[in-house]
Amino acid sequence: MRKRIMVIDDNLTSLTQVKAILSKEHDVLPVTSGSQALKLLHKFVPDIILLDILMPEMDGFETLIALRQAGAVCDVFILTGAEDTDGLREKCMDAGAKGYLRKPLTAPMLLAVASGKDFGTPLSFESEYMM
Amino acid sequence: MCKMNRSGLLASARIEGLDIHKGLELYEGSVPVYLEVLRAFFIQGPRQIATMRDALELWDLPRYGIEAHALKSAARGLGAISLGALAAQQEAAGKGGNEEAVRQDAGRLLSDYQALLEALDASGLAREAIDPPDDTPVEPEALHKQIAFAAERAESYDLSALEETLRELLRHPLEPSLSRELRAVLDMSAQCLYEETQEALRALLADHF
Repeated sequence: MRKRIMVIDDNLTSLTQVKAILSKEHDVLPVTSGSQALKLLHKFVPDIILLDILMPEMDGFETLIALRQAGAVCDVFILTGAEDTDGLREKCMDAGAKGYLRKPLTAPMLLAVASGKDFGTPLSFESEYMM
Repeated sequence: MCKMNRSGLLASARIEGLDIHKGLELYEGSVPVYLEVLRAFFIQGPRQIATMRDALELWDLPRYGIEAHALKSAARGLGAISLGALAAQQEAAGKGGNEEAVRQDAGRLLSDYQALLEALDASGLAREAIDPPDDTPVEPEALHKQIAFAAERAESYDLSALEETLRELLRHPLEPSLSRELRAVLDMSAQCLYEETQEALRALLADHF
């Protein structure tokens, strides 16, 4: 089933990776900040949100809280680098994120998340290509 | 430049600091996906370098660390392994307030980044991918209809249909000014400037039809 996926990341290259991989099978809207996501939340109602943790201005945790307050009820997955950033990943998981994907992102991990399959437990995708 | 040429170009490209094979592996060998990512890296580069320079001038190390973090992810996502490693080192230095490490390697990070952008430009790999040209002219009525459709898709945030429609139009002979404007719209959409994209398409419809 075609899903609407919002991807929030200040990095255009990361956004393009996700869009290029998922847009054949899903409707993908990349946005570059938490504030842009909030602005577009009711114009592009997402089924899934992929949310980067470390961003200037609003970080991933602040964005997650703001999105929930704005009425986003969909599954949120965190995008994170190799290192945990100041415990933000755990804070996001505690705040209801459904799982996290460790960068660099790969096609199999993104497609698995977009499939919407219920994995039962929080997801943690580790890239095989850590460099 | 057609897609087939770009695939061939990619196969024969040798760009210092870029492991194309490793980058392609991340996208299961998909050349179009990898090229789209390369293009985004290229489009984003000058602005990100400027932001990093500003952060260094203000000696705003946390901000510099965040930008280095973004560069790290972007570089790793291409197969630019050594640039990614240096960015990771600078991210840690910026976030940890290690002034000496930032002073020592920030210049090298920015010059390596710039060198990769220049090499990508010279290789032709970062140019917008448009399918092989079609010499058939587009009738004004069909052109209007297609641009109106693109505008409507932009309002609905249906980026795939928007970009596909514009790329298809750009395969055909168009007035140079219209062609430039359509390419500019594609770049706006690629940079997530959606209000600007919508506005530009509205203006284009008003000005040309």
